[in-house]
Amino acid sequence: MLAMELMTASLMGEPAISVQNLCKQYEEGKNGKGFALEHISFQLPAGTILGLIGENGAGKTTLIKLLLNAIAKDSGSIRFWGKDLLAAEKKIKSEIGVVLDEGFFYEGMTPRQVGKVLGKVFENWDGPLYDSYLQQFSLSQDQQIKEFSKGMKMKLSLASALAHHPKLLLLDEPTGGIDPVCRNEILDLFLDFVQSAENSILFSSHITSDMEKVADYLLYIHEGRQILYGEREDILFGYAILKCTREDFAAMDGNDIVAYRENQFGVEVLVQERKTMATKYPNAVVENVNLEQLMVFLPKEKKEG
Amino acid sequence: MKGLILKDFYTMARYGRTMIALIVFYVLLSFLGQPASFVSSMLVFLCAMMVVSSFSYDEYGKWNKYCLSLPISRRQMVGGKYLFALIMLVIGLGVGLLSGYLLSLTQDVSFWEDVLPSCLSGAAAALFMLSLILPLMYRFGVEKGRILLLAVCFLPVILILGFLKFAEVYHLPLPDEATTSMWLKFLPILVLAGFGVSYLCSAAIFAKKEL
Repeated sequence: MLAMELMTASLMGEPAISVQNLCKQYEEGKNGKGFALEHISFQLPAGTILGLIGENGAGKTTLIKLLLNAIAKDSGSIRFWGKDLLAAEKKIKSEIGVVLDEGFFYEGMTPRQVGKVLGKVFENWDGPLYDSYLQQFSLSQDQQIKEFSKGMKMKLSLASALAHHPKLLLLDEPTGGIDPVCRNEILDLFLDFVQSAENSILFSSHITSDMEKVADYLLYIHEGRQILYGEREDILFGYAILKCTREDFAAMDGNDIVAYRENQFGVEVLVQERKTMATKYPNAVVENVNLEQLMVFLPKEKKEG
Repeated sequence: MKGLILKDFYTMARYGRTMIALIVFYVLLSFLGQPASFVSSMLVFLCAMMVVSSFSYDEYGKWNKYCLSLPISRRQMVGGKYLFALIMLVIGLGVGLLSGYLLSLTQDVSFWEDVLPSCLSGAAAALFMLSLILPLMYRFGVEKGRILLLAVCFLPVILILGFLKFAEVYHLPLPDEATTSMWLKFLPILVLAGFGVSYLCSAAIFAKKEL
């Protein structure tokens, strides 16, 4: 019954994930200050890839834990294909594949054993598909996990997350600490996965070039606050970097300045509405902005408070 | 649930070698004069306590975090652990009784009157310990849980010694043998019931745990 509903939901264009006003407050610890994830709202439309970016400790993993109900939310709503996470948790979890930053099988186990265990866990586990992934990734069935390199471990995690035909992948730092060749293989796998229009991916990373390569949507979290959310293209074309001298900067209209950074040559200013800015400040050089610059600039945003 | 048990067995498979070494050690001990009943009941106890080691393997690999991402409820996760404990207890009883039987052939020890009762009381003791330690492990984690395990091991001894001292000082009558053996008949039921209550406690603790 629920499977039916989930299916129709995705046909009707229900987003794979829909999060509204999600909040989570950690109490102040003995030695650290309390951390809070505040008012996170976003959607992941079916068939797309959402990149979750933010520096270390920004709250990316906390958000993914909330999506898995590994920690309890304080307020807000989390829906998968239109169904509330808490109401349909088991069904939802049987439709998603997860790779965590840390947390997997005991490393003395082998890929073959991992497959046998997961075969008992997932009703729709596809053994031959799992084997073919292992073969594709050149992973030996009977080698202990601890003998694998970091990239190989990630590939094993991905094979384990893919072999039950999930409709959504939730991946925490799948490309972190992995060499470029292996990273590109993984990103290609993501693009293959979303070829099927009902499949979606949410993955977190602080490697901005990965996001620029594959993400359709971006969600940027900084110190637990949502700084940016939207389509990647809209975000990247919505901003520009304006390079000018200190004197020109001093003469700028304060309302045009989103954020700025001084260097030895002058000032780099993050602005919106590129074309208007180019005409308004003809002395300045206006350049495209990339994701890395946005991540560096935006937290410095000059706003009240 | 089947998957969880299978995973625990795969995890403990490597530990199995250590177990076999221990079995050999205890069998050797028995040749050096320890009675078969002692050796076999120790084996039962050791097997049952293997579930404690499986906890540290889980914690080391942050297994629970991953497990929560699978379509397995928290209650099932706890249930799987308790079931694994019971299965290990049964295996332990098998190993204990078998080795006890073989040893009793070489010693002047009766299987039915010595080995069997001591294996069963070893099992009861293990089940009692596990009932106390598992909720503590779920609440405080493995490292603190291990320290508490020591406390848990000594607690019954201290309680019994304390009671005996108390009885001696205040001249309380100690229960006679008939009463004791009558209570002993209820012991398996009491211990199993305790294990059930322990499961409910662990499930309640784990339900609220942030991972």
